[in-house]
Amino acid sequence: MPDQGGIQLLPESRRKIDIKTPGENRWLYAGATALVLVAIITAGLSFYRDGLEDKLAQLDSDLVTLEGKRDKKVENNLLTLDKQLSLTTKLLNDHIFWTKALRKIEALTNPQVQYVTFIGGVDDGRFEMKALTFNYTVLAKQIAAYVSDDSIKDIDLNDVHVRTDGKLEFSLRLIFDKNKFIREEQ
Amino acid sequence: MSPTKNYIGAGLIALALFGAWGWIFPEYNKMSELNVGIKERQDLYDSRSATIKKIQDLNKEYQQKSADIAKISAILPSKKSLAEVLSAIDKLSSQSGLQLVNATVTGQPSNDSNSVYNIMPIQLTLSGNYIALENFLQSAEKNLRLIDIATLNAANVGGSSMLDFSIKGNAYYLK
Repeated sequence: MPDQGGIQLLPESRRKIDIKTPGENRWLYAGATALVLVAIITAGLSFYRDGLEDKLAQLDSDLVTLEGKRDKKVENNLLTLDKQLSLTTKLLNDHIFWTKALRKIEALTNPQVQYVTFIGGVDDGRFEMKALTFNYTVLAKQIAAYVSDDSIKDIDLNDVHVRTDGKLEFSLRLIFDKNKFIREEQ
Repeated sequence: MSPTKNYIGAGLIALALFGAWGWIFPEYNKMSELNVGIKERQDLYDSRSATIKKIQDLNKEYQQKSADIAKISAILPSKKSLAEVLSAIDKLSSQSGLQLVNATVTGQPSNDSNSVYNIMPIQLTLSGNYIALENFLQSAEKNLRLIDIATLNAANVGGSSMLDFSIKGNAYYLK
């Protein structure tokens, strides 16, 4: 409005008056705060993750180092010894003692019996013999002596005949208990 | 109250939520996986360390008892050791007064997959008297390398005190 020499009540130009209302920027601040918070948490987690990755890499490296410390030769030696120890006990328990069997046969043999041949087999638990004696009485006593021993389970008598020199030739098969006859008692 | 500011604020919150969903959750998941991986590796490391320590301790004990272990190894060697067996048989027969006429020592690996050792069949033909046979058997039974005689065959030759012996046995070695 042009000045006409009077009192000017209204300003020539209008000035915008900002009226601040409490809480008007509330959403703005909340949004900014949330964004900053997300950024901080993300940065923190990223930093922590880097630490974890480093730790993982360190552990992998330690495992490789540890693998390098292994002495395969020593390990093989120990494994072999372990096998040997477990098997040796079993093999020693099953060890065959023919001296024990022969001593038993000797102890049971009648002085009037003379062995010509004998065959002993552990797998089928038999002891076969061809022998000479003077008469059937001695032979019967001999069989009775074998029967009296608890390690002899069964006896077969075969091919008894008188030879031209008057001696009695016979074949006997003894079936024995391996544990009592030929193995050391535990 | 300016609606523009509200829109911006809401946009920022939405962006923050989007960021949380797009960055924080994947990071969190990745960290969980890393933690599982670290725990697994740590357990593996601890277990292997303990095993290696135990092996080292056992090795010390092994070295201290090497003389005894050598004896056990002689009973059941890890190799066939054919030459040693033959040498032992020759020594046993000569010391006991038997003449070694024939010897066959084969070392066929066992076909039995359940068996953890191999059997080395031995076949011998010997000549001598009965006392010598007893000595031979006694020495064989006490021999450090385990020899089991499975079959023993003795026959008188022409009525003299000399006997022919045929022996089948087994020695053993690890697979």
